[in-house]
Amino acid sequence: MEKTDKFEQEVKQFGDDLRRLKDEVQKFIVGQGEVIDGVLSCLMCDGHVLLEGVPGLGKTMLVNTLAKALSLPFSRIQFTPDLMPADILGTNIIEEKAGGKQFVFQAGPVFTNILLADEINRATPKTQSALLEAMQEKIVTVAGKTHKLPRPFMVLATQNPLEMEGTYPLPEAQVDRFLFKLIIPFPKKDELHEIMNRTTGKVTPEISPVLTGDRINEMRELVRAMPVAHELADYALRILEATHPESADAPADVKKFVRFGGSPRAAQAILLAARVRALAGGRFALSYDDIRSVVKPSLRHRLILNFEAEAEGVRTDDLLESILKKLKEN
Amino acid sequence: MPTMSSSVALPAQLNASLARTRLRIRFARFARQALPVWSVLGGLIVLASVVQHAEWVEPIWMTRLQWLLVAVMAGVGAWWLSRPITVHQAAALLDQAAGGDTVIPSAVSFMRHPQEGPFVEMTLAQAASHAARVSPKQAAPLLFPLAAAALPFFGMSYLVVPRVVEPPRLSFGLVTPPQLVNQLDITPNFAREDPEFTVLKEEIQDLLRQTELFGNARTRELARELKRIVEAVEKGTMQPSAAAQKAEEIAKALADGQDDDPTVKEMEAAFEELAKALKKEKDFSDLAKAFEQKDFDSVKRELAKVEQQRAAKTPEDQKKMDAALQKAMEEAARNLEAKAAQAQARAKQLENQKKTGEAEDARKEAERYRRAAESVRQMGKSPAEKAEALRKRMEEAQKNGDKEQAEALKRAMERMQKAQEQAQKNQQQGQQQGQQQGQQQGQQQGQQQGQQQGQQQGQQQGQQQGQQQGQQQGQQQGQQQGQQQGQQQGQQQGQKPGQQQSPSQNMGDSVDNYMRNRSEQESQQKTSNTAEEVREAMKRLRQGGQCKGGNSGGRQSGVQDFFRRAGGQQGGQQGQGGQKPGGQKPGGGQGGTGAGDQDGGKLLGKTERTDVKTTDHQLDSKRQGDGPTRQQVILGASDKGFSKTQYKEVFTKYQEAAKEVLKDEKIPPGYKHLVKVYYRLIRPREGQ
Repeated sequence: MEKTDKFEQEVKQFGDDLRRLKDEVQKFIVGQGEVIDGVLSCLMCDGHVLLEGVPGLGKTMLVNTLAKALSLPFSRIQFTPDLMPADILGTNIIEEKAGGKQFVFQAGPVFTNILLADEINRATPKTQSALLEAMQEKIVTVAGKTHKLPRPFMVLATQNPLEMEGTYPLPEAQVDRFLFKLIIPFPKKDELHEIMNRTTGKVTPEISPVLTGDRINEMRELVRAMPVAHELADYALRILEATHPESADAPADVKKFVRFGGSPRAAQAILLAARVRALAGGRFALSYDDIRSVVKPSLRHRLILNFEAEAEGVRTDDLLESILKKLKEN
Repeated sequence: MPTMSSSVALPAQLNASLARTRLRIRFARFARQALPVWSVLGGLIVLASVVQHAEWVEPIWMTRLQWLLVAVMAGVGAWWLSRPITVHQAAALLDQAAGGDTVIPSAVSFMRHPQEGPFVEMTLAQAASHAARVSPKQAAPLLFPLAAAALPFFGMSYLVVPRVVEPPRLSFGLVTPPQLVNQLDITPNFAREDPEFTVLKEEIQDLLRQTELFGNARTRELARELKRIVEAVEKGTMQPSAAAQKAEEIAKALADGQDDDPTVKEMEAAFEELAKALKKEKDFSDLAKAFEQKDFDSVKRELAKVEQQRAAKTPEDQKKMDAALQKAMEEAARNLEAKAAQAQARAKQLENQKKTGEAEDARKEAERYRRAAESVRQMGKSPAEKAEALRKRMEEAQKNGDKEQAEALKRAMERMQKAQEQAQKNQQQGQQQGQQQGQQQGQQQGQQQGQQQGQQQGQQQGQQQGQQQGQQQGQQQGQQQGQQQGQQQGQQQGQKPGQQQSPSQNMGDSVDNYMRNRSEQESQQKTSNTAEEVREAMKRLRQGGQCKGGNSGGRQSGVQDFFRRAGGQQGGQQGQGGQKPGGQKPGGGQGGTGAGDQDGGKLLGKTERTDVKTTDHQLDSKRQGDGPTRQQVILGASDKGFSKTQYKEVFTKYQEAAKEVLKDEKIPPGYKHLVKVYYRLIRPREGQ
């Protein structure tokens, strides 16, 4: 009984911590509740986030605030076309020491806990791929020597969907590495009022650290310990299958506009993020709603649309919506 | 994270809730899916019932359609009830009712795909508390679709249809004034001008005539009572409704009153076996052939021949001939007993196999063979002995409580006694006639002989004296001889009771009895058919002149039989034309041939019989032979423009044609009545 209570308490604590973190972030960021939830989910899942939004919506501010609330080291890399991999990963430099000159590894900004890759699509693919390897493997190899990245390690990349000139869109394989792609919506009017008040006034909100790195690692363990019912996992997989145009369950829209569906990573992302959502709600088992709520951020960047879809301006979110409508739970 | 011991088993309460929910889902799905289909099918069944009772198409097809629809209903119901319901479906519904956080489905899933850990235990505990919170009633409510509301309505309609829907009347609007049609719809209608009532009266008259001719005291009295009732209604001294009910009961009693004489069937079996046995005897081969062909007129002729041959033989040869006939009868009896034993054994075997119906049939067959064997043995015995045997059998049937058979046997015995009495009467008449004729002829012959003798003697002794003496002597001698011969022949042909008869004569008696019984049974059948017609007519009158379809299995089978035969098949019953009840006339003898010639002549004379064999012919209406058929003439009449024939003539031709069909064809009860009413309605009026 005691163990049960303790476990119950632990789950409750998970929810409380996450809520406190969100509240802390929202001290500075007005609105954007879903985006914050998505970012926190990725944090708990040991995943990375691709944030997409027009300039000035607070993407960078969100990451800054999150880093402050977590009291974790934070780095920001502004991606430009002339940015080189070594600028991110670090490089070996010659250093004179007592015994003579020797190569010493100078760690790049990637060696941090929270990394903001601002306007990631402005860098060349070479640089992008250097970062993406670090994201996937959580290691960096320079001059034949492997360097582990600190845990927790989370990349929050941003990209601007408007200014496409002089950009290098991320290849599909690299986009797939991001657990979530979150779209930053334009704030509503009352939210804008609040933003104005907070940012143009004399008093700037103070962000205090809420969670430590160790606590985050503990919370990540709890997330992965949570079992998923077979039927729910099956539902997530059916959703994934339905994104493929050749699948029998695929809606007509998917068959018409999708060139290639989501990868298995998408299902992993769905199930992990859904667990976080369940735990955040203080529940011990996933629900179908948990799965449905994370389908769009998990899949929207993983669907490759065909030319027809591009021409007609079809949004992946609409396609995913049609899949969710079509698929039954049982 | 704390670790907890885990055992994956659903809490009992959750299990029970899931089971109940599954059951409710099954019924809810049945109600949702099957009941609307049932409603549609129910509507179709009611529609089919309406069509059936209105007789728009052949009712048997509608009955079959209804059974088919019922089978479809059962199939649909079974399909929706038997389709599987997974535990997960029940869990999902329970979970939805409990708040919908997928705890119960997850718990069920952990049970089916075992997992361990604190999360599983907590999920199971939560699921149990959720299940306790909601009842299966909330999870799977039994909602009946709106279409299901039509089902009780269709059920009621199905019960009501036979009472409300009736077959259409023949429409006589073209030939009858509308008010007459309206009159026909009044229930019951005993108006004097009503054609149905007129036809009914005619049918009762027919019935009365038939019962007077062929019926017994009871049937005669019933027919008279029927006539009295109809007359009372006509005079207005009796209420029509009460009269109709009473009359229908009487007609039913008359129709059901036909008794099935068991001796007829037994005798048929006996004759069949006797024919086989007689074939082996050289002297009786022709007789055997006649028995084999079931031509009982020929049998009678052959028996008379046998009797003549026997009479011509010496007493010793006669004895041999009698022994041969007895032997044949004995053999036939033994064969029949063997058949009876076989049938009995079969009955036992069937009984052991629990086929009670077939066993009962086999037992009856055995009994029939046993009785037939007895009948064969009785054939060689005198009429008195036969009557005694029949009486014993009747008493036995009474003891066994078989009232129907006892009654039938009683009637058969009465008929036999009546026939014996008639034979005695005829014998006495024959004797008297024979004696009188013998005396007259003897006197005449005696006178002639005396005259001749006297003339001869007178020539020798003196003419006058001789003539007187000769006349006296001749008269005396002639009288004595004529009397003796007449008595002898009268005794021979008149058959005194108790007098020793030859086996062939006794066999002839048995054949007579059989033919009499069979004829009587056929007459009763005719009476019964007419009574059935009257009953149907009564029913129509009680129901406002309308016929209820499908209320009588007999009638339905009659309709089927009618249509079957209309399709070209021959009916099972064939006419027995040419056979006369009574057969050979006993007595009625001719007078002696003259006095003094030692031969009084045949006192009882020959049986009145035509030596013509009658044959039944089935006439078909195919275009063959000379000239067009009557039907062709009638149908072709319209091609020739306006008819100049008087309607009366046309009507007569039509009516005659219809009468022929009514008489010769087997038509179901009620339909004859309709045809008669139709002709009554289209009969020519004045000026037509």
